[in-house]
Amino acid sequence: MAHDNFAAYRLPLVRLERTPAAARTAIIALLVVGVIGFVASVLTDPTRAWRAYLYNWLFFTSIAQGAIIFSAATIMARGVWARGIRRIAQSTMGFLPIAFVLLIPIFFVGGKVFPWVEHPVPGKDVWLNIPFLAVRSLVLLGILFYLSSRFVYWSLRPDAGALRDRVPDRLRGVYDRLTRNWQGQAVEEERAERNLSRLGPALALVYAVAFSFVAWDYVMSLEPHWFSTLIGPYFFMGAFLGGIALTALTAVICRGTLGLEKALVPPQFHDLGKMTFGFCVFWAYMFWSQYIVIWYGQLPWEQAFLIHRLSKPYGPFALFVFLGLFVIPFFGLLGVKPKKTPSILATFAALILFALWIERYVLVYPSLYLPDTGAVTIGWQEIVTALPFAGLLLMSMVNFATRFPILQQWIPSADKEILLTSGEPVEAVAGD
Amino acid sequence: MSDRKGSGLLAIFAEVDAACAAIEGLREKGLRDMVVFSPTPRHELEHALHTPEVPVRLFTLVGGLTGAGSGFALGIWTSLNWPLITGGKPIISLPAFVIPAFELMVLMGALSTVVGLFINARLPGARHNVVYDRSFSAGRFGVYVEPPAGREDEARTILRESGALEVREGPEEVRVGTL
Repeated sequence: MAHDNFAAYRLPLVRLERTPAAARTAIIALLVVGVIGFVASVLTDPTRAWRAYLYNWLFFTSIAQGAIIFSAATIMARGVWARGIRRIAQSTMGFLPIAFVLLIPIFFVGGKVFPWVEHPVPGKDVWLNIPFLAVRSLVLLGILFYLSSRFVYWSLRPDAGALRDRVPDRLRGVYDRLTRNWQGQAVEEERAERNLSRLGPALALVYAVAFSFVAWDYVMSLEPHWFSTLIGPYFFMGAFLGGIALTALTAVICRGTLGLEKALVPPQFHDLGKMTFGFCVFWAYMFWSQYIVIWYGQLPWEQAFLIHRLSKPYGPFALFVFLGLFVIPFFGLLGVKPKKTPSILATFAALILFALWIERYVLVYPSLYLPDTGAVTIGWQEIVTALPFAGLLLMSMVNFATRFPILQQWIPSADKEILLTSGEPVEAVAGD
Repeated sequence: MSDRKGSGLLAIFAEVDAACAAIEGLREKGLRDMVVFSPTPRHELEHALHTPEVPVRLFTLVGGLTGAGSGFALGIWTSLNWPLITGGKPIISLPAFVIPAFELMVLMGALSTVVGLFINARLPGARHNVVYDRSFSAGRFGVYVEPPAGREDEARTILRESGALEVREGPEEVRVGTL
């Protein structure tokens, strides 16, 4: 009753023993169908295939990195409510190195994707050329992904130390690597807390910078004469919203399939729902801040970007994005009950993820396939390209859950203070 | 301090859980007429009391909608009253009015919330006597209940068994709300 906000003091130890059969089938099916489909797409129309590849890369990298930043945000803000959710958000970590590798092919097919390769823009060609693009993207994303991995590492390390004598043989190597130079549980928890509180702000800043560069280079540069100072924040806050939605959806799925009813309780879903709701509104705020200035100024080179997206056949897609990322979640998640009901929250989270997938499409395609010269709507090429990305993301998350406890076991001392003053600690429900 | 005495029982608790247990216990027996004191706002107490939704939020809703409506109305009316074509846009260009409408929504919503709070709390000028203890401002929780005649013992037992530090009979009343 008194501690209903925080569930149990000690969270149960839950780790997948092996990849569940359903997940394995799904991953294999997504990868096989997706790779075959993508190869077919490259053979029929390589230009379209690589453009679909670019926007799917943008979407999946956004949500995977957004989820890590969400976990960092709750740790920085000492959000004790999110204790059981942080690790779930961190489970996308494995996808980031994959995203790093998957970016490289884009540089080799740059001519098919970036209009400025064939028609260099005088004056902008200093910035818009493939070698410089490759260097700055790989360096910035490399730093961002490295910091993310350090962050997740320090969050995992105290748990790895506490559990390393009890893990099955297949995990010995991983746990030994995670606990190199082990200095004892209490010291390590203190170190981890200190390092997390230093890494968190650095990670958030690097995220804002690196994802702004991604927005400039992979969204804005597709329409090389258009510019907006807000495209960076608009892009990375959308990615943050995607990360929250992915976390909410995953948390609901984990709760049902892993029996976490006692560890993830309705008040936590209430808070997760508030975050989802709040960042939908923030997305609309970012969208509007960018839209109103262009609408008011009515400058031809600024307006082109909007006109491409509002004219046929892209208009309905743009409208759906506005409905799916703002209007529907706003009214749907306004009340307390939908936020607290996991199935309803998951439905809205899935809608937001889908709308964000369309949003990344609307950001990329109308610049490359102008509405009056052969627009391209979503067809099988775009869908099959999404499948291998989805498969790889799912694989990374399931792999994470088969290695590490999906609920954080150690409790940072700052959390302990809050937990202990909010009611007497409840001992663990038996886990595993 | 006045000479008046409350007719009920005032229990003092050190822990919020004990106070919640007492509230739940009293509610189960149908003794719902109580006043609860807390040194800090606690959601647990609200949950235990099952406090109904206060009508203030309706004031906020009506105020907010009025504000948004009047923001648009202001923009439309002034534009029609002095029609100037700007940048080739229609006379009534709604995107331009969204920001004043939003700001007026926030302003009127906030002001009507304050008004709603004052009306519902009967402020200013609510003057009445309540039982009180100074420790309620220094970390203790209090539950004051006025049981109907003949049920005092029952209430006292519930308060004691929930872990009250002290149960006072006929506690002293203090005059509050004298603005």
